[in-house]
Amino acid sequence: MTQLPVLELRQLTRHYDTPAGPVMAVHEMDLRVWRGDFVALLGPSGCGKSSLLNLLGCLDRPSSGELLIDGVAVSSLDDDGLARLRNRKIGFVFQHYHLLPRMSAVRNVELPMMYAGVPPAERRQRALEGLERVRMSHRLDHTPSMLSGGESQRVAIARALAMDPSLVLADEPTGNLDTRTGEEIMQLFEKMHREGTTLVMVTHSPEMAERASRILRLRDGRIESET
Amino acid sequence: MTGSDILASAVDSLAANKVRSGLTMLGVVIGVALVIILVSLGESAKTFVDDQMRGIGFGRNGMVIHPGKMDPPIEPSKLRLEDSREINRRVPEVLDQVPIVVGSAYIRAGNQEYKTSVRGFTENYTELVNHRVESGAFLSTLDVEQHRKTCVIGQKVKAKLFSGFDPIGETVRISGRRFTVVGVMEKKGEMMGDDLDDLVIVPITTAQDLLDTDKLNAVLVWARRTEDLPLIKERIIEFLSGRHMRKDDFHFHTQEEMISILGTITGTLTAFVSGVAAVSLLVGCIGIVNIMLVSVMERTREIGIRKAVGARHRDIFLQFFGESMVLGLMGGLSGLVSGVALAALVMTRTGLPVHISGWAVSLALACSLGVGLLAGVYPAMRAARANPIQALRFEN
Repeated sequence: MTQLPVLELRQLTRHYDTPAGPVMAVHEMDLRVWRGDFVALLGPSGCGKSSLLNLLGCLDRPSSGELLIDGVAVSSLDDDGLARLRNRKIGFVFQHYHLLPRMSAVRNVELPMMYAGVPPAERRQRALEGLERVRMSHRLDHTPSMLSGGESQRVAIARALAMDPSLVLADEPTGNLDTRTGEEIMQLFEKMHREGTTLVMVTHSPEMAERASRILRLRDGRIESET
Repeated sequence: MTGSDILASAVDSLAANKVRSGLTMLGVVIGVALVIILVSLGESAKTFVDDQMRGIGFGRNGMVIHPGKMDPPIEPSKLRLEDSREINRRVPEVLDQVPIVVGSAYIRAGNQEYKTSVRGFTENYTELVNHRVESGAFLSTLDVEQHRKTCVIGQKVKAKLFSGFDPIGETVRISGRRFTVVGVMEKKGEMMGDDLDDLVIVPITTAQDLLDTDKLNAVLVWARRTEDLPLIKERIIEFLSGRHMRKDDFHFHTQEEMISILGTITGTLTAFVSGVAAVSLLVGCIGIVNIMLVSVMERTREIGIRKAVGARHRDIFLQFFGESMVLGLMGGLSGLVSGVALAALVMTRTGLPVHISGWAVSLALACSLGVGLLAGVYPAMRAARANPIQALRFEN
């Protein structure tokens, strides 16, 4: 059975024009990520990890080359199309959690479903289930300022999974957490991986990268090696 | 994102900054309240004057001749009773006229005495003015011709001097002279600040004797046809000047004039008020734009997050636009409530009829909506256009 890659990069390039000349953040990158993969993008700062993640998350557009998500070429989409793609196909987990500060945990998880047009009652139901999955049912009405870092990240993960996306992108998800809490979050990622979620995680920590099924080392906007 | 999502989000973020939101609305509140208060007061005053005019039956065909060049008269009156009588004969377009003498005197019955207003009229007063006798009779032609000491009293005089019994045929003393009460006037209340229940009406001739004058305080003139009023004016000027007076020994008031003077005053006032209200709404508008821009700035990261989870341009635009609309509308509603309350308070305190101008309310609300709309567009566009990557990186 031929399977469509969740993510396909063809000569994907992103460069920035700076006064000192063009900087190649992502350089003619080729990559396929398959359903159920847990990919770690490992590299020092400045290697193009963040630029790549922005491209994969459809927050940015490539300078050249092609990016396909579930077989759809991103370059064919307009801004609203990209927003829709982010909404339905991609879940983000950020280093700084990026929860909306005025909203309770459950409303933060509802947010992507609100933009997807899910009716309020169903939204609430699915958000409650999602928080249950990350074992945050005891903090439904807490706002982010009342949550610890680990708890915030769990809520953020529930939000990322809310729309049952094809791909979860995590940007240094344990970067702001102590070792023990970070470990808990990594276990959560492993659980998601076992349950079949496709994960791409950016990290600069080799130990964290070890937890993934594929490790891609980046340097100067290129994939240096894969293990 | 449904309408209620937009509304809930707007109310949420405005509630998170209550003081700021309140201050931002203030400009709109003041503008809306001002429009409602002043337009309503103007309309109420106009209704009041109209009602008063209609109340005494001094219709559009009526006119008053006052002594002197202007109000209030500085020099003594030169109008005489003969002058008023001549008007009927000299000016055929005149339906009728009533000469007036006004003064005050002590009136006494039994051991009750107090000071009241004395009015001298001719016998035709009740036929021309909507002020009727309740019991007994009004003054007669003979009363006037023969300087008889008869009088008709108002309801307050009756209540003060004759508590509980019929005053008709009784004797009262006005400035010490004996008068017979022939009638009691109906209850009329205040008209243009004049208490029509606290008075005693005597024959015009008797009033002149009593007040020791041969002059009049005013003459009421009615035209057969309203459109003849200017002509009648000309004729009266012509013939009075020919007699013993100069042109500026008297002047006229028509109801038309009084209304137009009032109209000029309220018109000027309305123009002034509209200016103030417009400036206030403009300031309110600028205030909202300003605060919305600050709010967009402060929430740059929020915008980034919302975009990352799938918000489209339109969703972000509507979110901030909705906030601005809610600000404008809430300002408008607060202005409406405070404006109506203040207007009603002023009206009850000043005795004006309580009247809230419907069109001023609609206009003010429309303006506040317009302000919210106008003020929201630019900040909301800025918010919608934010680049998600930069927005996510934004530190605050």
